[in-house]
Amino acid sequence: MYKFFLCFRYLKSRGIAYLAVLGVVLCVFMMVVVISLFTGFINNIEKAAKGLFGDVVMSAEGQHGLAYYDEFIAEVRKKVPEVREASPYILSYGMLRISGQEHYRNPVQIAGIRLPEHAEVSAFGKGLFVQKSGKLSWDPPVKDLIARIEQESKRTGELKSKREARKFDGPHRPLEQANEIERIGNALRLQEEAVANLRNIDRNRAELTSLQAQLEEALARGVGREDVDQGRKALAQARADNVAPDKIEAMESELEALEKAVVRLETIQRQTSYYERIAYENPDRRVVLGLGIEALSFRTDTGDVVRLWTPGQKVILYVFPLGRRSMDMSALSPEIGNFSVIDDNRSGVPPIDSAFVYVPFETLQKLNHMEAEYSQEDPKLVVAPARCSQIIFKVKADQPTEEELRGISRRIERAWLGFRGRFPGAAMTSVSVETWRQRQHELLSTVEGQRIMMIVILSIVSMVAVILIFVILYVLVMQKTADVGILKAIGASSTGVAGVFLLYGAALAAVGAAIGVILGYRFVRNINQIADWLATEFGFTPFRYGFLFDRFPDEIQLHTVVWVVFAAILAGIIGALRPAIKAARMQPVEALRYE
Amino acid sequence: MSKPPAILVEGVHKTYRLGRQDLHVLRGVDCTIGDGEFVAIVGASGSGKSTLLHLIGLLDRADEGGITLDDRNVMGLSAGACNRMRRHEIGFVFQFYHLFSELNVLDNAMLPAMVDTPLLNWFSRRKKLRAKAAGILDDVGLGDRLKHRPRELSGGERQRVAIARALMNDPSILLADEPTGNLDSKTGAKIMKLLKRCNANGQTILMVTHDSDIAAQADRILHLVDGLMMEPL
Ligand SMILES: Nc1ncnc2c1ncn2[C@@H]1O[C@H](COP(=O)(O)OP(=O)(O)OP(=O)(O)O)[C@@H](O)[C@H]1O
Ligand SMILES: [Mg+2]
Repeated sequence: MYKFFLCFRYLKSRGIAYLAVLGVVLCVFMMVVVISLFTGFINNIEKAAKGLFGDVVMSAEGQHGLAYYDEFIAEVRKKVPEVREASPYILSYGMLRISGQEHYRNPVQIAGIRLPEHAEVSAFGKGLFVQKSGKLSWDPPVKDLIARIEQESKRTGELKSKREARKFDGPHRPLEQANEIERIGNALRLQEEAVANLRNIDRNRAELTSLQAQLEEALARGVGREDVDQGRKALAQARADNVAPDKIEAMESELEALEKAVVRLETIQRQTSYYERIAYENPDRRVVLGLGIEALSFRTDTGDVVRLWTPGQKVILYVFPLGRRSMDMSALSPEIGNFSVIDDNRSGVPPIDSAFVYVPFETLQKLNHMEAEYSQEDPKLVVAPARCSQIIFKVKADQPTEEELRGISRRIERAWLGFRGRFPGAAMTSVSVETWRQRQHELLSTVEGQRIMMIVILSIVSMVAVILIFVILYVLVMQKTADVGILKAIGASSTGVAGVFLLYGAALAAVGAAIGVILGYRFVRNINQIADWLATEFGFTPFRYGFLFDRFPDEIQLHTVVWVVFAAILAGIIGALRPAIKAARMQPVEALRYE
Repeated sequence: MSKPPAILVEGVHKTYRLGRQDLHVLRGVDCTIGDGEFVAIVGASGSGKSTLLHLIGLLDRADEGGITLDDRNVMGLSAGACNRMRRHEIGFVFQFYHLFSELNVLDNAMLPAMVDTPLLNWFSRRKKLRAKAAGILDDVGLGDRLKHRPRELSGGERQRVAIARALMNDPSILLADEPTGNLDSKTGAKIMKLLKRCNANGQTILMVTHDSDIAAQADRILHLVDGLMMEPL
């Protein structure tokens, strides 16, 4: 009993001990913060990686692709009832150009997906910007577009004033600052224009139909700017010829009416063409951008996203076909398509978001030369079946374990073995079926490795705390030699005396750990506010987000805390071990003579 | 002599080794102290009085000879048994008090009881032990100083706390190494009164002292000369 009592009393009255406590506080604080952040990052990546490709993905080996995918999906639904949803997927490579930005051309990966199925096998729907809810489609309602772009322009406006209010003292990249404000301003103008146009279009939907009729009729009549020019010339001629004033007056009013009609015509033309661009155009040629594609959005150095695209934005995709014709020279010439942007998507995995664009499955199938081919003689006879690159499966279980998923993968693979025999076009295709974790193994293991390395480094740093406890307890044991003698003289055992100091070391560590955990908890919970504050007050942005993450993860896992506290107390005991043994070995007489 | 002696020392030798030089301090000490006796040991400085007391108090081991306490030979006892003897049978009072400066008077006096009580039993016994310690401190005249720290007390008061501590576990033998050595004669007299009261309560007392006046108050005086015990004629 006296061990606890003495240890508590020593704790209360030893000034130097607080130094050890401070050391433990710092180490525990660092540990909690680093482990929490890394675990948060890993969880984010895992979540994103999982959302990317559903639970299980089946891919064909080689570039040739998978035939009879719809038939196989039906087969899997029958044979593997654990599968809830499945969707075919095409991946190809190409180049992106943006109309209005002639210098821009960037390599992209082009994903052909079916909507809404793809959103049911992956988290694609959650990452969309415009289509936040409802049934996803390649042809979203104009009302949704208006609401989203309006919101977005409000946000961009706020961002702009926030950035303008931010002061930079000293030689702090004034040019960059100005450039950024200008870019945000441009984005804002684009968005406001888009909203105004979309609004106008939506409000005058009925009028628009009549406008269109008017337009067609006027165009048929041949009304145009040339007519106005001709009228002007005729009027000037008439004036020169001294035609009677009442006739000139009549010509003038006629010309005026004509001019009005032309202006009106041009307005109608603009509005209709805009509306056509976003509403009436071929819904096959729609594209969703990865939010991270350069030149269509950017991130300020405070980590805010600014969108530079507006609905209807034209882009050009050059697709390098990987389909069956890819063995001849035609593989060298890309298929080119005009697309209009309808949305953007943020998966949370940086390399995906900065390189991917998504287009309708069937569209890419054609551009990629994977569509079905029919016989010349009999257009009903399929010579080569349509293909996809992969099939993505989602299972019914909500949180399937890796084990379960691997079991399902094996059964899908087996189903394919049975299936391909019945379809000559599929007979030669061998496939691999992988769980999302297997697919993302490399990405995950890199981050995991970094986490372990950080923990190792911090553990080494934390040796300082152990040494601090060791030194302080050593000094304490020396100071308290007489106390040790007394304890032994009144019958305390050697282990009991050692216990006093071990307990003391553990207690120092426990107090330090408690404070460190509290500080670490408060720091991690507020880490985003702290980062924002550093950025706005001092322009200090040590963390380049890239498109990695919008925010720092601010979750703390209970097991992290338990683990760190346990390690700290263990370290305290280890630091106390040597001094405690020294105390235990002291002869009472020697100890008492020490005065 | 119906009762066995409280302390029986037979032919005890103790040699300190200082580098190459041997210091043969005790050279076959014999003495018998009866149960309930109050005996004083006197002798020149360096004659080995403290050494002998430490051997009897189990704070050190004799090189040779036998020591019997309350009819138990303690020479071959295990460490655990030694600790138990120290806790229950022996109370020790030191010249330099040796109190815990972090603990108040009451806690200092209670310490032997704390050492003797396992954690689980502490909560049930705490009240009783505290009352007992307070009672002993009241007996030694410190009933109103329970919450004071040792450094707030005078030398005599500190020695009384040390005596209270030595009495806490009701030992049958009380060993005192110059309990008045650092005190003036008036305070020393008070301490002696206290020891005599303990003796009257049946405790065997073995005291080392320099002061012949103090020694004279004991039942019997033993002289330690040249590592041997001489009884005065
Ligand atoms: N641990 C030790 N190591 C070496 N020598 C020691 C040790 N303890 C005591 N001595 C020596 O043994 C002798 C006896 O010491 P002790 O303390 O028993 O004498 P004492 O009779 O109590 O003297 P005093 O009256 O001054 O207290 C002394 O010469 C002392 O120097
Ligand atoms: Mg002495």
